This record gives sequence, structure tokens and C-alpha cells, in this order.
Amino acid sequence: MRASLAFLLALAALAPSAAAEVRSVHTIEPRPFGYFLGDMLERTVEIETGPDDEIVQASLPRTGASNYWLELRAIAQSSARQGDGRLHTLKLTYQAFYAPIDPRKQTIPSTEITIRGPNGSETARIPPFTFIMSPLREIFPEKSGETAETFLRPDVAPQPRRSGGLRTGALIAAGLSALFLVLLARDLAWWPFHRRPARPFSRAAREIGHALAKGGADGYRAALLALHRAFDTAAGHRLLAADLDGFLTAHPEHGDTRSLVERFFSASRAVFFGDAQREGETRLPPSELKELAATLARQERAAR
Amino acid sequence: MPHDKIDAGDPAGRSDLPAWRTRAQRFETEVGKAVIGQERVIRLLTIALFSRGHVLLEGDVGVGKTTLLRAAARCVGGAYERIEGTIDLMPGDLIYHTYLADDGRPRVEEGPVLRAGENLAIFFFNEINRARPQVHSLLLRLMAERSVSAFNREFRFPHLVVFADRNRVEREETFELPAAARDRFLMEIAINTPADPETRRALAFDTRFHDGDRLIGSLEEGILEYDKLNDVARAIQSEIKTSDALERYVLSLWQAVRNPAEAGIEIDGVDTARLVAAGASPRGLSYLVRAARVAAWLDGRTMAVPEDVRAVFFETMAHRIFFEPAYEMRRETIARQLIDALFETVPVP
Repeated sequence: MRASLAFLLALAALAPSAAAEVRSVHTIEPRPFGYFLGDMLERTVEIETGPDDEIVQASLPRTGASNYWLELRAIAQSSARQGDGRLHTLKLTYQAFYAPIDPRKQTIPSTEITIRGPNGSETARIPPFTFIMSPLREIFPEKSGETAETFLRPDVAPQPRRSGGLRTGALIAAGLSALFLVLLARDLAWWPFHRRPARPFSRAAREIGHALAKGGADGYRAALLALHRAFDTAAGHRLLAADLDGFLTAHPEHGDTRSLVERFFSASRAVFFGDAQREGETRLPPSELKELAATLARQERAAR
Repeated sequence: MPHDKIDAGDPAGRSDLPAWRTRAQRFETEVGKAVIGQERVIRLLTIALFSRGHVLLEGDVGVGKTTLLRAAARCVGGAYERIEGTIDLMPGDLIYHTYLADDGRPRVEEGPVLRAGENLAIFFFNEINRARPQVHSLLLRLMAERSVSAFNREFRFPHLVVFADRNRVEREETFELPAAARDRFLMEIAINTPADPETRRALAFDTRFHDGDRLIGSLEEGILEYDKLNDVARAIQSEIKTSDALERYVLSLWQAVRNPAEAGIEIDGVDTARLVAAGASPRGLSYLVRAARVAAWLDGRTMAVPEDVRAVFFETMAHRIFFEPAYEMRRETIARQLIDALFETVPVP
């Protein structure tokens, strides 16, 4: 008999528990009195559960207006192991907007929170909290001889905040940004470095962009001319197609683009000296011309 | 206009330009057999022949000026006459010469210019600066108008090209060519000793070059038919296009050469604002364009490009630019620097 009872007890112990285990719910409440319109109150709820249980997030109260006078401002959550179980801590920050005309009792209603364990869930009930709110002002100030001028409290004087560190940081950051902007402008030959002799192709790439944007035969001619001037500047003299070999020997950085540069010169020859204007654009379409200028500009920057 | 007369030959026929180009290349190769290491000079000479312009060769003694011109004359074909410039040469000596015949009676015969009549293709004036100004002025007419008045009538030489040479070593007993005469030459080509050691070795040791007459005699004769050249030249001038951009380029070159300081040209030790006294005549410019077209044709193109202008500019223009006296003595170096700077400065296209 005794043996069979012990067997049954052992079975019951082995059998899986039906749900999560909420061991205790403990609240640490703020003072229950002395609240005015707009005051905040912070409640801390500690829920002790089984080791693997966790709070179902969807069951937590939502931040925002809870009812017409109460707002849940924030909810902070943490959990830590405690002994053989787990302690979940919730910090609920409320703000009360009730404007009572006499000291009055208000209640934050109770909430239920679902705890999920490995085999099911259970609810933990956060109890209601009752506190007393008081009025801020007299109900009939006229009776005590107050006027509109004396009745209104003066504004709170603004508190100067120390911003020295932030200001210094901002100034340093702005200074560095300006310096880097100048360096970048110099490297990319932006204004005011746009006439920098060492960056003729960067300048040409920009001018070609403008010229091609205009479109038409004139735009294409202007774009070709811009690149010719860049070659002239880079070579230090006027560069004809026949001088290309010498130029590429003196500027090996542009050696990779030789075939495209040759096509540029042949297109330019067709446009300016041939009688077929359109032929140039088929030999070197505007998009490729633009790309060539960009490539040359890049090589030029990389070389120095 | 002088070049109207140059063109006054047979009525313009359709000339087969590609075939003529092959022929021009053959001409260059053939002349190159006699004169080695002077490819550029031969190319310029070919350009001059197809531009129907006269050529003045200039260089040291013994660099092959005469050989080159004789070789070219043989390969062009047609009648060829030459005369040596001397201090006592008079214009009449070119036109006629007088002598006592066997029968003891005086005779007057046609001189070298008239002897071949209309077939005269090349007249070669050796050492032109040794002849007197009187001779130069006869030559002036012969070059400009391709005609001469003699024996109360006018002789015309429609196929004539004048080759002249001049050595630049001596200045004693020489007469500097007047500006007008120099301006009538299409090109003034300077010949230098080849710098290539292999060519120099061949010139000194290869027996082929020891006997000038045999060397010239071994060349193929009349590769270019002299009486067709006028038509071909006309065809080249009408076939090879010069675009607006090229015209602008040539005009800015012209402007810059007349006024180098304004074009921003600077030469060491030279005040470019006071360098050029005169020159670069309109005739010179038209010669330049003609020569550039021929250069383009020889390169197998149908349009002239700035490279063609550059290839012939020095030879066609340098002798037409006249410097202020202070710089005239250093003309060779300054002219070279000026023209180099010109092509480095004037924007293309």
C-alpha cells in the first residue's frame, strides 16, 4: 500500500506541469498621496516565475493614454535569474492629468500579464493602485482678493545649461569638415580650384557634362573641344593626333585608355576636319566621351 | 594670280588619284635609292612636285643636294636642264648663247631655258646664290609666270618646276636672294647630314654612292609623267577637303606668325613683339594649303588635318618670314623656335 502510494507520488512528480509557474507578484509602489496635475508616478512590479518562463510582450499594457486622465509614459522591462527561478521587473511610469477640485482618490486599474512557460501560460495580476490627488489652486481665488495678475504664478526662470563641451566639439567638427571639403575640392578640382593646372581632365569632365547636357551637334563639338584643351594643358603644348604616342609615354597613367583616346582623336578628326559631322558621334558616342573624360580625370588624380 | 597659270595645262580630266598615289610612293622609293637617310626631304620634294611648286634646297657642301635633285629630275621625266650659278652669269646666258660656227660665221642658239621648249619639266639652278640679281629677276618671271620673253616672242613652259640649291657655308661672292624671289619658292628645304650611324657608314663605304652619274643612271626614268602632273595636282586640290575648322586653324596660325607676341608666343632672348618685320605672304599661305592638301593625299586621306599643315609649315613658310635686322643673323634657330612655339600655342581645332 505504502509502496504504491510512493509510486503514484513519483509519477505525479515526473508528469509535466500543466502551465507556467508564477510564484509571486510583488509591487513597489510610490507614495499614495500628494499628487498634482501632471505629476509622474513610477510603479515597480516584480514577478517571480519558474526558470524558463517569460513575459508575453503582447500582454503588457500599451504606452499612451490609458483613460481620460491617465497616461502610461514608459514601460521598462528587465529580467534576471534568482535562485532556481527568474525575477521579471517591470517599471511602469504613469502621468496623471486629473484636475481635482478637492483632494480625491484615484485608482490605476489592475492589469493582467501573461507569462509563458515551456508548456503553457499563466496570468500574473498586477494589483490596482490607489492614490490621492490634490488641487493645485483655489477654487474661487476672487474670494481671497486675488486678481488675474496676482493669481497667475510667474514663469519658472530658465535654467542655463552648460553647453561648452558640445559647442567646442561642434566647432572642431565644423572646422574639420571645412578643411576636408577644401581638400576634396582641391582633389576633384572644384571651384575655386577649377582652374588648377594639374587637374585639366577633372575640369574637362565637368565641362563635357555641361556641354553634352545642351545636346546637339554644337554641344558635342564643345565637349570634344573641352577634352582637346585638357589634353593640351596636360601635354603642355597643343596635342595633335600624331603626338599621342609621345603624350602617352610622358603620361603613362593614361596608358590603359589608349584605344579610347585614339577613338576620341579619330572622332574629333571626323567632326572638325571631315565632311561627315555625324560620323564622329558614331565613332565615339557622347556617353562614351563622358566616360572617357571621367576615366582620364580619375587616372589623373590617382597619378598625383 | 600665279597659280592660275600653274593650273593652265590640259583641261581637267578625271585623274585616277589612288593609282597616282601608288606612283608617288614608287617615286619616293626610287629617289630614296639614290639619296639615303633623307626620307623627309624626299617626301617634301614629292609634295612640292604634286603642288606644282618650286623648291630651294639649302645645306652644307656635299650632303647630296645636287644628287637628290638630279634623281628627282630623272624620276619625273621630261626635259631637264641645269645651269651653274656663277658671279659672271648674265640673264642672257640662260636664254641663248653665241658662238662662231665651223664656217666662221657667228651663230645664236637657244640657251638652256629655251632649248627643250614646252617640254621643259625641271630646270635645275645650281648654287643659285652665286648668280647676280639680274639673273634672279629673270628667274623670278620664269618661276612666277612660267614664261620668258626672248627673240621677240613669249616662250611658255606649262610643266616647269624650278629646283635650286644653295650652300650656306660661304657668303663671299654670293648674292642673297631677294625676298620676292624667295617668296616664289613653294618650299625651302634644309638638308642635313643623316644622323643615323648606319646611313653614315653606307654613305662613306658603299661603292654605289661613289659614282653619282651611275647612281642616277640606275634609277627608273619618268615614273611620274611630267605632262600629267598639272592635271593630277588640280584633281588633288579639288578632291582633298579642307573643313571650316582647318581654315580657321590656318588663319590663326597666320595671324600668330605675323604677330607672335599677341598670340602669347615667347622665345628665349627674343622680344617677340619686335621680331617679325614682314612676311608670311598670302601667296605663301595659299602654297601652304596646297602643300597640306598634297600631304593629306599622300597619307591616303580625303581631308587635310592639322598634322598635314604642321608637316609642311616650316618648309613652306619659314623662308617667307622676315625678321627685324637684330634677329636676322640668328634666323635659322629663331625661325625654328618660332614655328615650334606656334604649333605649341595655337589651339587645334
